[in-house]
Order: sequence, then C-alpha cells, then structure tokens
Amino acid sequence: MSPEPATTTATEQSRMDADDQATTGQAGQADRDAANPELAAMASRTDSIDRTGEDTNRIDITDLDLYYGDFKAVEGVTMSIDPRAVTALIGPSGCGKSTFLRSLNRLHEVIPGAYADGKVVLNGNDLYGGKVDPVLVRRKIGMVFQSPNPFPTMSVAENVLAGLRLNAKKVPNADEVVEKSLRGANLWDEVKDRLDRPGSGLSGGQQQRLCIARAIAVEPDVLLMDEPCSALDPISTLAIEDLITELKEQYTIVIVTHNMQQAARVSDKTGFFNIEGTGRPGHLVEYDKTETMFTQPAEEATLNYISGRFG
Amino acid sequence: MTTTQTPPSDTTSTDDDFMAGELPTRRQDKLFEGITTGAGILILLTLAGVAFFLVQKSLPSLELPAESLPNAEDIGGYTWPLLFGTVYSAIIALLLATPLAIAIALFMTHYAPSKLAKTLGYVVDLLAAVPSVVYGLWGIFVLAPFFVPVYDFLADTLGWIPLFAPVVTPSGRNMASAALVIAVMILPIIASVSKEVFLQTPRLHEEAAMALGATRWEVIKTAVLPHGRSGVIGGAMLGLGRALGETMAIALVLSPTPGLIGFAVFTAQNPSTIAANIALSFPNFGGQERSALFATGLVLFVATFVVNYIARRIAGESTGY
Amino acid sequence: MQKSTPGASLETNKLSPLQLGGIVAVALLIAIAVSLPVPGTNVTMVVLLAGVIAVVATYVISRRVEGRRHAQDRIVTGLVTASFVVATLPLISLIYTTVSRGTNRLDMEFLTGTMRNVVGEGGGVSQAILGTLIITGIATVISVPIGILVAIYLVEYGRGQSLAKGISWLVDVMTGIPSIVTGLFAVGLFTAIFDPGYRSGFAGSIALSVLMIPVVVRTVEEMLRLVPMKLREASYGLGVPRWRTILKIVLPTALPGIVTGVILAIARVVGETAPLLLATGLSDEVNLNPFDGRMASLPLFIYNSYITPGVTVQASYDRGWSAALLLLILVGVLFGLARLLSAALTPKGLK
Repeated sequence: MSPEPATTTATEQSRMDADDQATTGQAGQADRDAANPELAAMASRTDSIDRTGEDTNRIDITDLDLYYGDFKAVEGVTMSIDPRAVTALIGPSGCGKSTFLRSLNRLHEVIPGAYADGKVVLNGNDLYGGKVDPVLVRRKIGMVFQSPNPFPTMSVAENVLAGLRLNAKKVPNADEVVEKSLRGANLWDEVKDRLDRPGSGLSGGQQQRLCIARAIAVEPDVLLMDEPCSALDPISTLAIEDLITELKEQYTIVIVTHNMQQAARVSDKTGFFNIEGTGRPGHLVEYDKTETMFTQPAEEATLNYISGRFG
Repeated sequence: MTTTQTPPSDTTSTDDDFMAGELPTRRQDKLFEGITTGAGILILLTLAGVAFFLVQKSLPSLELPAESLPNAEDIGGYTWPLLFGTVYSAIIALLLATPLAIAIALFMTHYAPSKLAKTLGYVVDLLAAVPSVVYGLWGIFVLAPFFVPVYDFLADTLGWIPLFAPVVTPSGRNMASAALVIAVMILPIIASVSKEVFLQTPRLHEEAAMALGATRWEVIKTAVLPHGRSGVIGGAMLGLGRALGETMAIALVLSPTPGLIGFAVFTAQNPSTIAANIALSFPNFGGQERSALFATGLVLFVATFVVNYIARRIAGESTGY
Repeated sequence: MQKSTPGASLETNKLSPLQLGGIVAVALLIAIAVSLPVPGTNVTMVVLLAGVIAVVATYVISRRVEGRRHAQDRIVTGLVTASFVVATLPLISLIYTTVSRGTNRLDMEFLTGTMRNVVGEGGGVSQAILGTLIITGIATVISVPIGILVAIYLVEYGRGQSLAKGISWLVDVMTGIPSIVTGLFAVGLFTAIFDPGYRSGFAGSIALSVLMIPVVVRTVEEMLRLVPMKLREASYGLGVPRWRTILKIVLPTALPGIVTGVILAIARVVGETAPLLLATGLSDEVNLNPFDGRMASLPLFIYNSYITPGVTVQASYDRGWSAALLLLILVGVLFGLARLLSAALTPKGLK
C-alpha cells in the first residue's frame, strides 16, 4: 500500500514486457519451440524414436498391489502389455480391474489415501519411481472414461485442444491438430461444420469420440479406456469399437469392459480379474491371447465367467 | 501482487521428462495449494484479529472512573442492562417470527403451486435483502404509528399484565415496535431454513400418510413437522443470532432509556440493546469511554457466537447448513 | 381415520371453491359493516377482521358439511395462506412507502449535487453514491479472491484434513458476526496503526469484507462441489496438473453460480450501515480517496438524515427517503442482474 513497492512492480512489469517482446518477436519454428517446448519435444520424439520398434511402449507390470488407505483393492498383478495391440480387462464388478487400469497412469491417486506398491515400467522408466511426476505420466498415457465427459464450457475444437492448452501451451497449428485428432477419432466429417459449438451439444457417441480425439491430441504413447461404451447405444458402440481397432495401429490400448463380446471382438489379449469375496483384494486370474481365453481358458473361474456361469 | 502470480508455467520438458528430478508440476501444485491454504489461514487470522482488538480495546474499561459511564458504577453495571435489552428484544422477535416463518415455509412447500412457490421464494429473498436502515425508517414512520392503536387496545384490556403495562408511548417507538421490525427481518432466515428441511421430508413418509387417507394437514402433522423439527429449531437459532446483532433498525425505532431493565413493551421507557447503543453512543464518546463500547461489543460477539454455534449444531443434523 | 362401510360411495360432501369464495365475500362485508361506525379504522384492520371471520366461518361450515378432519385441514390451509399474506404485507408496505416518499427528491440536483454548504432544503447525494460504490467495490475486490481461494482450499485440497474442518467451522463463526462488531474490529485495527481519530473508506471496506468473505466462501464452495468429478478426472487424464485443472476447468464450469453468489453477496453488504458508522464516518462532500478521511455512503446518509435532520427537518427526511429509494433500487438491480447472469452464463451442457 506504500508507494515503495509500487515502483518495484513497475520496473518488473517493464522487464516482463521486454521478455514478452523478445519471444513474440521471433517467428516460425523457433517461436513454436520456444512458446511450446512440450509440443516440440513431442514432435522430435515422434521423429527420433522408431515407433515400430518391437518393444517400444510395452508396459511391464511386476507385483503391483493397489491400496485405498488401509484397504487393499488389487493384489500381486504381474503382466506384460503388448505395444500396438488391444488388451482387454474383464471381470465381475468390484474385482479391481478399473482400479488397476487407473493405476497405469496413476489416476487412481487422485483419491486421497490411494497408493501403489510394485513396478509399472514403460520404455525403461518405472512410473512409480521416486522422482516421477504423476502429472507427466498422464501426458504419456491418456485415458477415456466410462461416460463421455467433454468440458461443458468449451467448444468442440477447444475440447480437442484442451490437453495442450490447459498445459499453458500456445498451439500454433491449432487447426491442424484439431482436424488430425478428429479424423483420428472418426469424428471429423460429423463435426467439421460446428467446431465452435459446445462439445456437450453432441450425441453421446459423438461425445465419446470427441473425448478420444481429446486424448489423442496430446499424442500419448498409451490409451487407457475404462468401459468406454457402457453409456452408449449399440450403434455408437460399434463405431467406437471400429475406432479402437484402427487406433491400435499407433497406440498401445488397454480397455476395461463388462461386455464379453466386446472383449472378444476388439482385443488381442485378455486379462481376467476376480475377487474371492467382498473386502478381499482383486487379482489377475488369467492372462492370455483373447482367442485362447474365450475358447480354452486354463482356469475354471475364467471359464465360468466367460460362459456366464458366474454370480 | 503482480509478481505472486504463479511459478514459471512452462514446464520445459524433454522426452521422458517424467523422470526429471525437479517435479515441476508437483512444485506448482504445492505452491497453489499453499496459496489456498494461506487464504484459509487468513480466515483464522481475521477472527483472531477481531477477538484480539475487541479484548485489547475493551481492557481500559475495567479501570474507567465511575463518573465517565452514564448511569453505571462500573463496566459490569453498564453492560448488564444492555445485554438484557439485547436478549429481550431478540427473544420477542423470535417468538413473533418463528410461527409465521414455519407457516410461510409450509405454504411454499405444501400449499402453493410450484411455479408460484418459486416466485414466493424470490419475494422472501428480497425481504432478506432490504437494508436494515431502510427497515428502520419504515419502522419509525409506518409500522410504529400503525400499531399504536393496537398497543392502546392491548394496554387498555390487558394492562394488568406487566408486559402490557400502560402508558403507551404515542410515537410507538417502543420495545414492541423494535421487536416487530426485527421479526420481519429474521423471518426470511427462519423461513428459508425451514423450507429446506421440509423439502427434505422423505417422500415415502408423506406418501405413506397419504395412502392412509390423511388430509394435507394430517400429512404435515405426522410426516413433515416431526422430520423438520430440529432444522426449524436450528433456523430459529440462526434467526436469534441475527436478531441479537441487529443494529440500525433498533437504533432508529427504539427510544432507549439508559441503564433501564424493564419488561414493559409499550411504554416510552425501554432498555437499549448493545448494538444499537454502540451505534448511538460511538460518535459522542471520547477515547476512554469508547473502551466501554468495545467491552459490550465483546459480550455481543461472544453471545452471538454461542447462539450460532448451538444453531449450527442443531440445524447441521438435518441439513447441510 | 374414517371407517368406510362396504358399498359406501366414494363421493363425499365437499365445499366447492365457489362456496368458499362466498364465505370470504360475506366475511368481508360483515367486517366492513362492523368497522364503518368505529372511528380510526383503516383498510388493513378491516382485512384482518375479515380474515378472522372467514377462517372461523369456514371451520364451522366445513365441520358441518365435511366433518372434523376436513374442517381442521381447511382451517390450517386458511391460517398458512393468511400467514403468507401477512408476511408479504411488510415488504409491500415498505416498498410502497419508500417509493411514494422517495420520489419527492429524486431530481437532478439530488443525484448530482452534494451536501456541501447545504443547511436547509436542496442538496444531493452524489458523494454518498460514489462513496458506496468505492467502499463496496474495494470490499468486493478484497473478498472475492480470498473467498474463492478459501473455497478451493476447502473443496479441492482440504478434504478430510482437520485444518480444513477447523477453517470451515471458523467460516461459520464469521457468518454470524454482527455487523457492528466488524465495525469495532476495523476501528481497533486502524486506530492501532494510525491515530485514534482515524476514519476512512478503506477501513469501512475492511469491515464489510469481514461480512462478505464468509458469504462468498459458502457460495463458491457449494458451486465447486456441484462440478462433476468426471470433469476433473478428464483433465487429470490429459496430464493437466491439479492447480491448472481447478483454475481452467473447475472454476469456469462453476462460474455462473459463483457470479450470481458474488452479486448477491454484494447486495447483502451494500446496505450495511453500522460498520461504516464506526469505521468510515460521513462526509458532506465528494471524497474519492478511500485512504484519506471520512467518506459518505448511502446507508449512513439515510441514517443521518433521520438522526440529525438539521434546520429543515422535512427536507432532511425527504432526502433520507430518496436515498433509501436509491439504495433499494441498487439492491433490486443487483438481484435482477444476478438472476439474468446466472441464466446467461450457464453453459448449454449444464442446463
């Protein structure tokens, strides 16, 4: 309130203005990189890393236990998720498959008291390593949720760009990103004329594909899908399933589903989760090629579940 | 203020940056959480400040020379009649307002068509939004003169009860008018809390009563009122808290007699209230005497605190208040 | 409960609305007839008397035609409806009085002039209008950010923490502070820093902030809790840090409710008189500097025009009523604005 700090602020202000001019003055690629190092890094990574390499973006999970406070939700999961393939997780309600899925990008941690014990390794990095920032993990491993959740305050285009813009990035080639992501989600033709309308005005199936476009706009390595069709009608479900099959060319996809047919249709490998009883932790019963799982599973419990002889 | 914005927002990242040792987003999050926690602690500091300054400024009143306080030997003798007036006026107002407020809440929840009820809710909100100084003016010029004939009638017929003892003050600026104005002011508070709890009556209870062929009043009597009881009491206590602290309307409407303790509500001899007394005396009091006003303010603060605390304990059980 | 005999008709004797209307009309006529000879009666008393007669008559008739239980129901319906009418009377009377008396002086001189060197008639309130805008404006600028941050802490970060529970409790305590006490607080605070006679618009703003912050906190809290968890998760899933999710997703989604709540909070403090009486004082001329000396305000101007009417009492009262009308209009405009904005700002997806 005294005049003293006011002068300091003024000086700082002018210095900041100078900085601003310095950055905005430059044009072209350098500007794009300066304003948006994240995107630049992504671009360069996409160029430099051979995405067709056999084990790039493979997820290796070793002895993973998941907790909500004192409650152990999932116990001793060890599995290796193939890159550029669809892995389906099935099992009865409450078996911990969703929790497990969320633990793959550390999203289960947003619930206070939740934590994990074990290893989840992606491209040589343990996601649960001591210095790992969960927020950055989530930029590598995207998520599509049970019910479509476009941001109601944003337009279709803004929704697609949300992941980039919310991370304080200017997106110089915004139109390109929007079109590419919407095409990637098989939605472009349906919404190209109403990109500036609210995203929440779309139909349920369109909203879910918008959410997928939003997720792939940040160019993640892995896409997690938590029952992405459970809130949709059969036709929209088919559209999403087709999309999933297309997306696996580029992404490692893990999908949780209640729908056995869906697992059989879209996935290459299937994991079956089960619980012994209420209050007990869920665990991975069996994990194999989808074909094997649905024709000759090794475990009795799996057979019972997939043939509908379960609870 | 401009520099506290946020940390550098560009989380400059290389590939596989989630292995970066600096945890940039976690630091940003900690900082933002720190800012919001700081704001929360500011609430604590403000209240501590309120308590501190009230105590600090009222301490000198303990040693005030007797002659500097009007109509009182010491600060205790000065505060007591004011506290009496405060509680007395608030309780009368509460007794007048509560039944009316319950009826209004019932009207809005069970009698009026839902569209009308919405408009009526708006009217009640407006009633709560009228500034107290305007209520004060209206109390002097409209309400008090309007009720003088009623006071006259009551004093004539029931004057043998000390409460209604004559002589009625011709201006109507007495305890009864003050209490009536406060009653109008706290009506919306009690009504809106009651409305909330009435709306939360389990449908099943009401339908069970209706299925037995109960009339609307019987449904209310057997299902709605028992369920809403603690909420209504809580709302009434909140209204009481508000009534205790009401200042301007009383300062305007009530014509006080310093140091008086009396129950008669129609006469020209009325006890004052703490809040109104502060408002009326503050501009005229010098530094030393002001400490007495701070002391009464401290008493008022504690009193409203206790009442509100009880109110929320009761109301909190049945609503989110 | 009534016993029903087998084969009994489901139809009962009921009073029709027409019959009930008839009872009320007759009651009114009786009330008028009784009151006319009595000196000094007015409309309100006639209506009250008619109400009493109508309720009693309805009970008696209903009891004979419909039975005891229905008669009871009728009488409660009558009482509840009557209570509501009684409760709206003060508001109607208050608005009527303020408008009819307030229009006496609602002229250009009143709106643009000041009270400087005005002893009798004339004079204006521009200094009070400006003062109210400045004092309330500063209070808003202080309260809104603090209130929003506290609400964010309580909803987003503090869940389950004992500190958060404590602060939430203190917000409740703060809600209950009488306005005069916040005035004493501001006086205590500023006289501790400056001289004992210190008065300023800013001190008044601080007092109003103490009243306003808890209201803002509670509104924003409620609005933040309404934002679906799935939107937060969508944002986290995109690798957006929590603080940015709160600022860019949660707050914008809750914005309509927050704006409405803030405006209603302003409407609530704009008419506060007691804190300003102690902390700010009154000035006859325009003072635009909130840090220097007394500053006029509408509520205190109203109070003062009654408490110290000066030479020409009626002129002062007229000014007071006109200022009261201005204040009521201000509150009404804020109320209307809150409703309009909440409708206009709500994103289509949330309706």
